Amino acid sequence: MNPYEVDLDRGPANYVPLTPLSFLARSVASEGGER
Amino acid sequence: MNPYEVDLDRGPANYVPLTPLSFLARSAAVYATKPAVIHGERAFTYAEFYARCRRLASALARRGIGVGDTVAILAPNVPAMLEAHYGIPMAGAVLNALNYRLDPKSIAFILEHGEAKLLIADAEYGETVAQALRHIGRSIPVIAVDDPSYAGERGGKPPGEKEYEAFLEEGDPDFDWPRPADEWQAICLLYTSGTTGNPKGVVYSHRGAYLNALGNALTFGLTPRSVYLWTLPMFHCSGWSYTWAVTAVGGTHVCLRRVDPALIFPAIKRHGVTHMCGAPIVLSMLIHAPAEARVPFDHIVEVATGGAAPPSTVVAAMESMGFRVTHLYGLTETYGPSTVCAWQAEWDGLGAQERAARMARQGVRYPTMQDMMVADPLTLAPVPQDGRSMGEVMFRGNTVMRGYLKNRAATAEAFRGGWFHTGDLAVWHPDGYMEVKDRSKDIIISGGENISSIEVEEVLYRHPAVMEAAVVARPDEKWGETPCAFVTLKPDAEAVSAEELIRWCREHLARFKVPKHFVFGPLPKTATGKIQKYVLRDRAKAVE
Repeated sequence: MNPYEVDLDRGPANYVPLTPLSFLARSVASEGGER
Repeated sequence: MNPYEVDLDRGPANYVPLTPLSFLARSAAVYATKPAVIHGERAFTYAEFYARCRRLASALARRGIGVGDTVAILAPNVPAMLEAHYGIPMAGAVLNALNYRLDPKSIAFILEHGEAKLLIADAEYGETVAQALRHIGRSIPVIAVDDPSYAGERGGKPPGEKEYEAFLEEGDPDFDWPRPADEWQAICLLYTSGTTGNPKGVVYSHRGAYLNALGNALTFGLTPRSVYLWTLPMFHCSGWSYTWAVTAVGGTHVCLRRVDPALIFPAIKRHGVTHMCGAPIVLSMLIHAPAEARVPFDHIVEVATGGAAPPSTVVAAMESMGFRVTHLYGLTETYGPSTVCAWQAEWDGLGAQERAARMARQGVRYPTMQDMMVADPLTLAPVPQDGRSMGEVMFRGNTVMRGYLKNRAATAEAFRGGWFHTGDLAVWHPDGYMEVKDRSKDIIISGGENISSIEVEEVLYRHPAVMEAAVVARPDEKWGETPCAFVTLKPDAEAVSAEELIRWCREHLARFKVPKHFVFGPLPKTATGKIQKYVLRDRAKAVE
């Protein structure tokens, strides 16, 4: 096994399903209302 | 089961691993005769650029290099460096771009830790390579880049078995490169100074690189007419992922061997440069360029900067020369930029001072980064968006690294609670813009380069006359920050001068890491004996 296959897995911090809905959340955030 | 879960599966027609390599194949088809790469008097069309990258991939594959193998490169922003970002992963291998400002020992560490199978090295770094290889217990084949625009000594030519152009000749320009079987496959390995002396190897995936390239193109307004000047070293986060972004839109890359205003201004004029990136030091260099180096141009050049907020005087001076400044923020761990101080229409009418205050903020996440927050590092509770409460900047998304190579503990620490912890402390403004106030990591950023204060301290502690040492950032108009050392000598030691310690540091550290200022005397401590670095940071500001 090469070293890139060890302990470098997908997880919540680095792998999120792609969705265009995140664009809307972001454009709202730029106006100060995401949270 | 709902009907959308029946007979609507992934297949080769509708599900293909994301990779930025596909951008080059596409641009070669769409813009075959258009200049893709310009370097001095040389220019390659997109068809030629693609053929050269396929040759490189093929030549590597013929040497048995493939999936999971690391290929390192030590070169300035020359065509070979750009081609490495395609040709190496087109062989299935992982690109490890090295910081040419590092000393031979650090380079040796990286080549060993990253298990490089082959090294491509520019003739300028021949001596560095020779020294680094002497530190390593095994031989690594070296391909030497002999760039025609390099005017310096070739005496220290790398012990290369072959020159790069001859190596390309070994390869097939029509090589049918293997597409990555999985978009999570590694594409790049980049070392970053950590809080401990040894650098950490950040691993990028094809998926993340693809997405941040698109995020950059969208955020910085790249189009097929864009002409991008390479003032940012490509070894920094794969050139902040612009190595792939410019190709994605079919723009033109203009290579640049040296970041020198005497080369930058003429290149802007001659090639009609529209976009460039760089650390604040690059902006300062342009502003303070000697009059004879300045060639006026009659269009607007977009320049993105990061690493530190651009001071208002710098923004104003840049604007008066015809540049428009965008402030980006990110880390090696986030493929380069992941936030932008997105401009709001109503800022147009603000006075210079107020505009600068807005522009000093690191801003909001890229459209391709799924989430950002400023939060308590322990509870992960977001801080109020009041512009006052401090928290740590955290990211969650597909442009966060896979992790640190062979360092499970550091990866777990960086990802605790399911968020990537940047180590940067910030406030969150009511309009959703984040502003970095301090770094919780012991990192000094000088001229765009990260310096681990602990690495410098370790070198000082090894000096026979030094009892204690602490290194902190000192604000510097030219470099952003420089390392400032506070040193206590052993009571029985003979007096040692700052010059002597500078000599000592130069022997053991890359030049940019050597402290510019030394202060001798006792160090401020807490009741438990911990050195109070914040006190020293304040003192450093007053050091002349």
